[in-house]
Amino acid sequence: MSGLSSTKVIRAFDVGEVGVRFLGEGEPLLFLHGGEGPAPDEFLAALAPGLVIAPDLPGFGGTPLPGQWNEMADLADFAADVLDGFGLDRAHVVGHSFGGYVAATLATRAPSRVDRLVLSAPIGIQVPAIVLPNVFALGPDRTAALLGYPAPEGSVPLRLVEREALARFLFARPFDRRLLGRLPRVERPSLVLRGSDDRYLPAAYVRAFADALGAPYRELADLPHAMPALAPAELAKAIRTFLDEEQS
Amino acid sequence: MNEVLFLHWMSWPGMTRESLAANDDWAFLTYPNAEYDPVEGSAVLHRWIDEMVYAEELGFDGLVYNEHHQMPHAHLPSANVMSATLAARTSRIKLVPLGHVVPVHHPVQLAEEIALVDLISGGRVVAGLSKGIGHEFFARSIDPGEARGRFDEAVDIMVRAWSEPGPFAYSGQYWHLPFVNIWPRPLQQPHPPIWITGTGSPNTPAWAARRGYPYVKGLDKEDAVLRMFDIYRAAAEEAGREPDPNNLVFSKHVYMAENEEEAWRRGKEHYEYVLRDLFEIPDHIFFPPGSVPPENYERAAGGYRHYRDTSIEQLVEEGVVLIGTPDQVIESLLRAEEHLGFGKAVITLAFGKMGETETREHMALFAERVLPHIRDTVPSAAPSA
Repeated sequence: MSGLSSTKVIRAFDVGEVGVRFLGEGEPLLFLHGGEGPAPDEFLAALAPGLVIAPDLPGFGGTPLPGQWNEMADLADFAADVLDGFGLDRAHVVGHSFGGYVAATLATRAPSRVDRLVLSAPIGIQVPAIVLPNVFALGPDRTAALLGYPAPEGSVPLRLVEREALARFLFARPFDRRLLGRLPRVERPSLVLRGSDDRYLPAAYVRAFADALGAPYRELADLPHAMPALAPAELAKAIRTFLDEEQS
Repeated sequence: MNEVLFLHWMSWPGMTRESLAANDDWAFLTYPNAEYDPVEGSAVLHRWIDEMVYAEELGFDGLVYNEHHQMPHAHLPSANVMSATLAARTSRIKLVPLGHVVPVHHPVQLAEEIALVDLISGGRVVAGLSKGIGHEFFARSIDPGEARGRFDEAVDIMVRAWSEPGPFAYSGQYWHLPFVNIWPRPLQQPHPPIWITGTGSPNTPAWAARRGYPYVKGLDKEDAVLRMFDIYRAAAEEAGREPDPNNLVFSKHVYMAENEEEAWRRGKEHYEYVLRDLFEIPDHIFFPPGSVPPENYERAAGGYRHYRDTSIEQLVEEGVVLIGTPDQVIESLLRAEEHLGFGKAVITLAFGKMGETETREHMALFAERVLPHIRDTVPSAAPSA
């Protein structure tokens, strides 16, 4: 395979027609990106073999954000519409960070759409005594450092519209109070990952996802928060290993 | 101009450059409140209140105070508490908070409290309403993108709560209120005058004009104020209203002394404190995502940076703030009135690190030397209680 993605136009509720990035063919995997934006093709290619579908979430990249949308359920429904657009009843669902929040919401609202669930450094739950840093208050340089970019110049600068999209879902409350309690609804094999050098999410926070899912929790040595952009090969390998293990 | 109102900026005088630097140059939101000395704070508050009472004696038409949250600058977190205090200490003067930070309050509670202070003051209260500034959305975890919608909806609820016989039911995007029926109702009928403060969005004067609410604009270059006032006048005409100069409220910081050199020496120091130290905050806090449409962001943030990064001499040159002798101040304010066409002026005379003596002398100098030359009418007589 070439490793370069193609685009398929699908229809999503409220959003309308939108191009969705994909590559490969075979066993389908839906990747939901984090707040720093769509992942590089290199990461998607490393998730192969299989059909890797990687939409730009509404408000990011080429996908507009409908004015009334402000709940995670809106984004989870969008993810389901993407599966419909590819004619899929279910797929492996992999979500990173903010995309992990979307993936966990999709998996708890519509468990039948999920074959296997992988949450990479996910956010979206409320864990007693853990208050995550407010990324909107940090400013671009410190956010970049928190996510693990070596220098601000190396970071993916969020456009203002993307910051606005992220704020719509996270500013007032960066979690869904009921999400943790609903995670046991997901009965499919699941995996929760965290980079051991993640400065944004404490281990106890990410581990709470795994405990609620009854899923293994794995730390990837020396990796920061922004794994899809900064450690695409290592993250993809950990995901691939899990999916291949579960297959056998 | 028909009315000249006195604004007390209520700047906490104790902020230091060292503490500011230790707090990453953030003067809002996180500037540590351990720096606040409550004993000293109590004395300072009493002094400020006394100074506002003095402004009534000096013949100003109104007392103006800000409401803001989690900042040493203008640290008055409840305008209604101050309105009630001043209502009890004064007898004639209009009480004008500019303004209640509407999105951080429950609209029915706010309507109730404003009605209460209206009754206590004998109908002297103006309901100054503002959308709030960026750091306040962090301070209350309010999505900045919702602030405008929350503001609009809250104003509708408040106006109805004051003026419509209760109980009535309200159901909107942010509030669902099956029983709105405030006790007590305001003395002024149908409700206390509403004034709208603007920080620079062109939507605000247009919205205020359509509703016939006075619009207040300050701390900006005169051309920028003119642009907002022109938007107001055009929107008023479009809505079939005669544009009334009394609905345009000009606002200006003034520092003056008999001697120009002294005015500059002291005024510059106060402006440096109030526009530099007390206003120090990064763009992403002042303009969090959603608070300003992306296409307006650079203009808004650039305008704000301008006050911080431009010399005081340049800001005076541009007419953002004034420094001068009484004659120079008269000339400047009359020229602004001619240029901008406003009917009311809010003059900030107490700000920066001004102490008690300096503040009172400054207020008295303005009242004696400037006020009689810029105001068209004499203050109205005290209402019979």
